[in-house]
Amino acid sequence: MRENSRRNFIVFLCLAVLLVLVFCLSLSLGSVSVPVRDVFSYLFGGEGNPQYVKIVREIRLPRAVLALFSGGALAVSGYLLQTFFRNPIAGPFVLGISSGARFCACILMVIVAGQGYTVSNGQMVGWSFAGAMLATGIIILLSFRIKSMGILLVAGFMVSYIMGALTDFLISFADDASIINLHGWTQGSFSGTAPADALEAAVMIAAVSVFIFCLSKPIGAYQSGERFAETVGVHVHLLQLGIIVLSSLLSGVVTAFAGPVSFVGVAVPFIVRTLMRDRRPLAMLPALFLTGAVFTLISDLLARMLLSPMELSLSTVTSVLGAPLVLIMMVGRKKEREI
Amino acid sequence: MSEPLLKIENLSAGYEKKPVLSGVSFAADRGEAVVVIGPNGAGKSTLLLTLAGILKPMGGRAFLSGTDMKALTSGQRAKRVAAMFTDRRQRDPKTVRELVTEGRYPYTGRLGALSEKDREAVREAMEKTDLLSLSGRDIGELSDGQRQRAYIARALAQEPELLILDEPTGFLDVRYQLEIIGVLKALCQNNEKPITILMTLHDLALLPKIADRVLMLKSGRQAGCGTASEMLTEEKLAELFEIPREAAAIYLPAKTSERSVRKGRKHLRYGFTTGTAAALAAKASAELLLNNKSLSTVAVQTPKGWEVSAVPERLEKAEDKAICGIRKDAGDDPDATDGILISAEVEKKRELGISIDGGPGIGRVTKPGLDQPVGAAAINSVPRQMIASACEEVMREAGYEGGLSVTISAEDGETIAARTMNPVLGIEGGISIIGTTGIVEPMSEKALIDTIALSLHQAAVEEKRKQETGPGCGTSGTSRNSENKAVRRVILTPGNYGEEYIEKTGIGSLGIPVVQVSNFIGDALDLCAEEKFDEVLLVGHAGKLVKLAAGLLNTHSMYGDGRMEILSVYAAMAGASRETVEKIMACATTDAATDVLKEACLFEETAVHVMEAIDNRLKRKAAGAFQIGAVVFSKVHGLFGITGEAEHFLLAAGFRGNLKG
Repeated sequence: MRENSRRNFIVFLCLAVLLVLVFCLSLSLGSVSVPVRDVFSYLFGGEGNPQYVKIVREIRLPRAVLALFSGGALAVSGYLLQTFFRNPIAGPFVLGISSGARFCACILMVIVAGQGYTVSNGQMVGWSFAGAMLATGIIILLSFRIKSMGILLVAGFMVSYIMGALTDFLISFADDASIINLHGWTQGSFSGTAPADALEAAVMIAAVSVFIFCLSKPIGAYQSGERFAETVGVHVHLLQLGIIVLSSLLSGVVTAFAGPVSFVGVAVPFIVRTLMRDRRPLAMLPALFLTGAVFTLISDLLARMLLSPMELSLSTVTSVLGAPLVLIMMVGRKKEREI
Repeated sequence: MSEPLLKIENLSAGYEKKPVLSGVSFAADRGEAVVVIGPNGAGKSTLLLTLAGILKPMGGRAFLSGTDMKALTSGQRAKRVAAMFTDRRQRDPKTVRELVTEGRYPYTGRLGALSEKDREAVREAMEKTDLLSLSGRDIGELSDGQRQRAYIARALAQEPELLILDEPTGFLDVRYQLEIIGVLKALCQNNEKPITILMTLHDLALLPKIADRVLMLKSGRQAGCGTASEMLTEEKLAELFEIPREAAAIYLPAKTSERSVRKGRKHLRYGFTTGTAAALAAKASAELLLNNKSLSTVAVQTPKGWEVSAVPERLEKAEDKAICGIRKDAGDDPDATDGILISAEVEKKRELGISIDGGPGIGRVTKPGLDQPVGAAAINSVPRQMIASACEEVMREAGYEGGLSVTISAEDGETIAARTMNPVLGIEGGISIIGTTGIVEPMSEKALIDTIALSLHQAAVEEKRKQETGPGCGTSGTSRNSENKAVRRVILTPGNYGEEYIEKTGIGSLGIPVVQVSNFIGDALDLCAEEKFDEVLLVGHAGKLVKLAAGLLNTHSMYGDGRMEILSVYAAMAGASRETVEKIMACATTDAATDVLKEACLFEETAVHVMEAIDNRLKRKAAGAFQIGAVVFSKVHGLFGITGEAEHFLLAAGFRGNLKG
């Protein structure tokens, strides 16, 4: 146990340092380069070139904050679903969250905007979130009838397919502009984040994450076995319901503000498991949040910088960055035995 | 009567809406192990899942120490009931300690913080499963048996009163199976915190080693509940598993009557004592009276630890009493009471408690100094305890809260007793029930002497080996005499009383072999000469060894008595009056006679004379082949006397203890 404490400390320290570093770089680098010293001064109310200040405070800061919290949220959400399904390839969108959100975003864009009404940012956010929760609601209802994890996973896929099909149906009535908009939304992006949005997202994600952290103990018991958890006093069915709802909230919020960001939720838990020896949720959850934040910030920075001034799609970068990383780690480590 | 730890009434349970199990009723006490057996699909796992709280019962009730389990919150239940099922796949690396700590879930703080008490409980759980030395190892590196113990330790960390295990020995090889069964048995028999165990077992051969009670389930219904002996009969097994009777026979535990011991060239069967017969009869009567159950086989646990079962010969009920007759089977022992029919009549009475008395055929005590007071029935304390326990068991199961009166009688007891020592001991009117172990070990004379010869030979070989290991070899048992030749020593004792005394005083720790010689003192001494021992010490109870003073070298009562005569003569030589001598002659035991002598202040001198006489007789028998000393003691009065040679023996062997005993 003492070994674990030491290792935990090292991992957390490294992650924290990395996070601060990448966060600063996100604020500093870009088509306009702002020296890091100035970045700090602008953040804390200092004066300087008004254009630079605006870039840092109103464009890059909200974007970085959203990227940070989204990364953390997705990593945690992915981890929760992997725990729930006892399946390491489950991700935050496996229960149809992104398809639900996309479907509602599509309604907004194709139908509403197509009719000539303007769609506000707030409406986009609201409707996307509603779509995500719609998918979650269907899954929860199904979970009362379907007791097997494996079958519930399949049900999640089916919900995704149905939503996807409905979306495609709607698209057939759409004009090109709407289709392009929807496609753009589907790629996921942190660009153009308003400060108010960033704050809203951060608060919601932080609140849900803290709540999940408080459930570390029962989640840990659940990981040791459903029957075991039941016998030590965990209300397993309630916990399972809670896990679905909480992870959906996390990924729903991210999707609402940034669209579906793929791969983070699957890859980051994998990376963290390799880094950490202490597998208790108590230690894993903070590590996941930090790693997800770092990973997403790096991806967003690269998406912005690689082909500047053109922005790559976020999901492309996360996939290209993440997939080889996972492969390397998988090949490199010792096989985990089932005992 | 204290509440049983677990009581199930008409329980039914299942999945979805259909019950898979119904009508299950049984009870288990603290420290009992209940094993559930039955064919696949009988509902065993369902029963365990329901009692562990994972499935909700569909009907009936379950009580834990009197509390309805439905009324317990999951947290409260988790602190009293722990379960280990077969889904035990762990993907994450974990040390044994970390795994066991998981079991403290119901006790730890909000985020799982451990208190000192938690750490202590984890340590204790690992100690009980012998895992302390492995506490830092990763569970993936453990052997299957060790890993299984780790899971059991995790369950123990919950500090449960009831431990539920589903196939704990599944997939383990024989060695690990025995390891696990050993751990579980120790948990049940722990004196401070006995745990009640409910488990399933496929391997019926393990049952007798662990099961106090066996519950049979078939097709979702209860097919029987009782002790292992009562349930594991050819008939019941064949019916339960639907296999032919001959096949079922393989799984039956060896019955006491089929146990035998090799004495010389013969296999002699063990039997059970009259006390056991009385307990069996009492149990069957109680079952009939209180539960209205007419047992075809009845079984009891004997103090020796073996279970004895018998078929009641007579079983009748009338209003408020029931009577049962069991025929005593003394095995292959030449016992006067073999085949006697012992009956127990059990009657309900208003006052609490169990009263035991003797009826026709059971003798009554008329002289003081025996286990029972004058006027009582000649049933000694251990048999009384056996009878009482057997009745209590039945009363508990039936939930009977009143009292019982038990009357034991023996057919033709008076005539049979005339052939025993009873009239001499002052027991009149019938036989006495005295056995302490409940089991009769067959004793054919020649066979016994052969056994003694073997033991003495082994002892001689052992002493010779010590001799050859070199001079001055540490053990106080071997020392050199004046010619620097290693001295071969042996200690002889008639039986268990002597062994106990030898242990208690520390004579047993001298490193000298101790051989039990029963009544064959003379034969044993001859054998000692044959085996070329140099020094022999005889340690025994006064009641036996006093006879040596008159030259009775076989102390079995069938060869003669004369104890009181001997004591009287030497007392007279010490100055006893006629009155004192008459008092001594009226005594039944040497202890009683000792009391008389002490009262007359003649004890010391008499004892000296007696020991002198014993010394002479022994030396005459030894005829110079070896040096022989004697230590005579009494359970009540401590040391009776010690001969000079015995003192020399003990001194040379390095004895530093106290002979008071």
